[in-house]
Amino acid sequence: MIVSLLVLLPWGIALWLSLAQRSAVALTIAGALAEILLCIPLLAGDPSAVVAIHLPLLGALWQLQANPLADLFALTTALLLPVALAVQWRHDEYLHLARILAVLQGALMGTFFANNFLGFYIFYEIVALAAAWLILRSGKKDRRAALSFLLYTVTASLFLLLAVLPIYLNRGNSTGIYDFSWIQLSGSDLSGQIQLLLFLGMLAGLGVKLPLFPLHGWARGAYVQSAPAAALFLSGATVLAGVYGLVHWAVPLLPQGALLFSPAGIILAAIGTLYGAFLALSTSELRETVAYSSVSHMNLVALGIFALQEQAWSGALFLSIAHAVLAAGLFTVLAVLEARGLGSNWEGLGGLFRRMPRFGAWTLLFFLMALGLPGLGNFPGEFLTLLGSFRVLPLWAGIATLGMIVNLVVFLRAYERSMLGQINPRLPAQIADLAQREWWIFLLLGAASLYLGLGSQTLLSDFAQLLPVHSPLLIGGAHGH
Amino acid sequence: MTEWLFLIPGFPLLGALINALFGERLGPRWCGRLAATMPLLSSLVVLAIWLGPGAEPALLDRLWTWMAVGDFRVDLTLRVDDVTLVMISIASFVGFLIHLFSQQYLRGDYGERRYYFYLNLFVAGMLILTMANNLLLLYLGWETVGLCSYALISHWYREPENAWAGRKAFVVTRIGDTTLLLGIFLLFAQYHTLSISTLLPLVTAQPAPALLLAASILILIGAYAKSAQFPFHIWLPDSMAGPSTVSALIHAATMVTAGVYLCIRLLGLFAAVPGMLEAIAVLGAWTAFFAASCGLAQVDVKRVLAYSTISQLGYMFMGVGIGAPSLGLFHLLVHACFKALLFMASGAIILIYADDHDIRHMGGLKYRQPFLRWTFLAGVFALAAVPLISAAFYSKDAIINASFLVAGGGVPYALGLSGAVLTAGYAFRLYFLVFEGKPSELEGPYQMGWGMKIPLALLAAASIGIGWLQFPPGWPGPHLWVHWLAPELGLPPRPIGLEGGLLTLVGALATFLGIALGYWAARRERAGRGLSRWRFLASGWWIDGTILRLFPAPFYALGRLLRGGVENLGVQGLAQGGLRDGLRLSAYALARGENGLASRYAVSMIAGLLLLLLLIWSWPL
Amino acid sequence: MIEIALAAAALLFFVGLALILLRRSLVFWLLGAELLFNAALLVALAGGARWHAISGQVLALFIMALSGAALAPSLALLLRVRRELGTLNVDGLRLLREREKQDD
Repeated sequence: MIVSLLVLLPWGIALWLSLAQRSAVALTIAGALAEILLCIPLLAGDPSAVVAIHLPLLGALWQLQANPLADLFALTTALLLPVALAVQWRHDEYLHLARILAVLQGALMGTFFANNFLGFYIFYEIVALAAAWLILRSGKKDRRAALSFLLYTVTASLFLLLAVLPIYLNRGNSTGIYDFSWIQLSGSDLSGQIQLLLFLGMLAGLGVKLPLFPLHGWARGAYVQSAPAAALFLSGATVLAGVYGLVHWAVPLLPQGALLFSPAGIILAAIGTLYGAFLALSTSELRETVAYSSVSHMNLVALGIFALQEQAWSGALFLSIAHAVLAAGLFTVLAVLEARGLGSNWEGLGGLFRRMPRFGAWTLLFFLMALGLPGLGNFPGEFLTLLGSFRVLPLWAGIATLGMIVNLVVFLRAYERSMLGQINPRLPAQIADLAQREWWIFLLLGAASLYLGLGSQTLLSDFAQLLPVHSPLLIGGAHGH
Repeated sequence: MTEWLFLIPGFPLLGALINALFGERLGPRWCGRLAATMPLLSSLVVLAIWLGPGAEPALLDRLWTWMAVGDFRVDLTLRVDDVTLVMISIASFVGFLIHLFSQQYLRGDYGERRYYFYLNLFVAGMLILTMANNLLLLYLGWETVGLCSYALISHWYREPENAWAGRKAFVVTRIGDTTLLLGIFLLFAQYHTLSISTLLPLVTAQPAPALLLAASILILIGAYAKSAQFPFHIWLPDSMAGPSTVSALIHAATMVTAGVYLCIRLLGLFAAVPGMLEAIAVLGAWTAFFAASCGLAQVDVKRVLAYSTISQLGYMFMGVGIGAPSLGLFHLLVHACFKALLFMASGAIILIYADDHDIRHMGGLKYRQPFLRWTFLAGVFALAAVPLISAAFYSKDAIINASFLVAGGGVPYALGLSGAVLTAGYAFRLYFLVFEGKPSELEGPYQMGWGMKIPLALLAAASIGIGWLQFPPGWPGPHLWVHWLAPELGLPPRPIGLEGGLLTLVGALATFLGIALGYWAARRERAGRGLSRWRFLASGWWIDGTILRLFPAPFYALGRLLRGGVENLGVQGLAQGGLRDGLRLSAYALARGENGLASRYAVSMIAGLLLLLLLIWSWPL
Repeated sequence: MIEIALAAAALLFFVGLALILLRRSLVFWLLGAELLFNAALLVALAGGARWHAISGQVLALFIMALSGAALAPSLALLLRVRRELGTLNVDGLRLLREREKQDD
């Protein structure tokens, strides 16, 4: 029951917001908090499940079921929403944004809990549409960026659907039951080569959300042109749908294909990691820096998934959650700049620390998190991912590790140019330092980052209790440890 | 006792936390006092270990599990043995003295609170680094001190050069950190553990030559980058942009010694690779010689000391390499005392000369600042290893002499000895230029308070006296150090009898030769014809410039190439544009088909129907 | 027995198809569509007879009712078209066509 509520509550709120334009703030905040509260019984182990809308030959479309990984991702998403709302507080776009974010959140919950592939696919498409809508209606309202996002995701998810159809038919033929539910689709006896082909198809559809190199073309436009709060949710929560799809659907459904793809995947993701880092190096626009570093981190997540190795998987899942915190922090930094009417190109900044010391200190914290400083949230994820994949393919994992140096240069240089040095004469004479609300957002995110960085085991031991299907040890012939 | 070990890094960490959260309300003065109390409390705990149980057998305090996945497990375990005890004593006590010194030194500065935050965090990081029983926890401390080094070098961030120097230091050391991480990966892939105390026996029991060679080289690069060894030394002279107290604590007494400490810790690993220790000895001696030669030509008082630090660290590595790690550790301790002293004193000198760092503008300081002069002289004595009355005579000369005894020690011995001459040369050149001669008119009034005098006096006493813990073999007097550490580090080769006497004599002669060289160099410098005009030496053999010109540029170029060539042209242009244009074209083509001719719709409908029928008919169901 | 019925149905079907494909007049299209209906009806009847199932006849009745019901508005529309456009040629009915200029 709870799982249905998790999906329907935000949708209901979105509907209400569209009909009645009043009292938006209280309602959205209350809804967001209720969503967090709803996640708690799931994490406590409530095996919530619901089956409805049964269709012949397809299975139950509304077939939602809680599992430990989905619970964690749902909680992360639920926690990110208040941050995004708080960042966008008192902006003209607040109502629009809250509405779309609520739709997006409901759809994301659906993708996490869906146990029927068609249901997952429908939710996944709603995520894509809502995200495109979000880009279209927020920030610079850039049609091109929204269109590009839509083109990438919709085209790619077509491959996802096409790749699952043969599995469906194969299972249907061998068991006589035609059904798209997870349990029915898993365990197909397709040959390795065909599995590889189908895996590539699913990867195209799911990897584009991460975004996996070279499917990342939408990322710059989406993260740079939309409002910071929107980009925060996109890069923090929406990417989780892609990660979850890979971990819950692509790999367990096609274990042999995943295994065959593993070396190539590690190489691809290692290149993507470095590629994102190098692109971040060659820009003076902070938003692009943040966008490309997000691409780089998500490719590292993909690296861990492709390695099909215990530590690497834990690391990748950890990193994808830590990345949500990081994205929240970095985009809040950008939002603070935007709220003060400052550009985000460092050519127009410089010496800002003198005017905004609190802001400067928090910015440094999140930049440090982004460059993988041990003790902060990203490090355990990065470390475990690289350690695990190093045991599978040392050379390429080693090359990906070198990205840490590039990342360091990227963020230190950005910090130096925007925050340190002499005050840029073009800056306004009076700039307000962090307001109370902004300071609290940073404090909460910073505390979360420290907690992830030092108390990593709480999350990692949760991963140890993931469903057996999520453990690479049990995926036939995987690299184990 | 063991359950209280966490307090040692815990106090400074708490100080940093309080400072970060409530520092604004406390005000800078109380931030400073609070920050200074914390390392004092830590050193009291350390003192309790010295007085109480000692560190034999090693004390262990397991805090909590950091990460555990499958066969990978990292606990936050603090371990204190004798070597660690030395390190944490230095970090906490010298750290405390420097906090104390900073109270007056930094008063009224524009970032006092920030300074104390990072200083406390640094002490905590250094203590974690040294107490870590696990390579990953060590790495946590390793990176924390790297961060603090960055932040404190850039402390006066309003000058862009300072911010740049901080970044340079962080980037160069991060290169080493990354190779260290790769070394950790290699070791874990082979031995499935990162706990040092379990790893080292495994390495000896199941050696894997090729892997160990790779791992030890990678880890050694990490140690070299942190300890500013050739050719990774380039960051240290620039790091002098930070306050002198920072240079004293981080870039002399503690952080830069982390590399040496790591080598001592992982000695079993390096020893398992044939030829590795010999290479470390030669490289260390080479760095000692090279940096000393550069120190002779510097005109910035702090850059002299920076090159001197690089050089002295070279001697420590040499000590580790020739199989005398206990002597290396001894020199580390001695160096921490006298170099912290010299840096703090140079900070006072710079204040007296109104932020002028150029020693050619100084002179005759001994008349107005006798206290500063005597303490500085004690430090110079120790740096130059003046026989009998300076601590380095018992540590540095012992390393050089020991190297003469080991097989293949000829090259290190020669380099080390000539380095010793140069060391005494630049040390006394500095002293003569600053304190002797005619008083300079640039000198301003400055009164050092007790908070500055006490640390200087204590460290000066240590610079003279701490060497008496370990007299050369055969001499009357205590021989405590080497024997105390022998269970952990073994006994170093020690020259005895006539050979020992001769070697000691040669070392002493080298020092006196160096003092003469220093006098000569100072006179020439006064006359305007000094070694500083020799660009080759003054620029550090052009190494810094060459590296800066060669290395960063290709990376930025690659970034621009990827951006212009691959991203803009390929991904944004061809792939995304192709997708968009392809869809637009096909939409256009389909729209052309929708021409409104109903008869043609009928034809295509029927054709489609037939196609479907054909498909169903031929489907292999 | 059923083969003959099926052959007749096929014949009806193809005649209907041919009418739609070859003629341009709306009247003949309507006729063709009716023939297609009838072909389906015949198959349903034949199948019902062959397997002695009532559903064949039910379906036939249903189709008759449906095609009758559909025919009435169709004829009305046809008259309307004739009055408005003055022609019964199907290719004249392109008022809803998208204009060329609206291409993006």
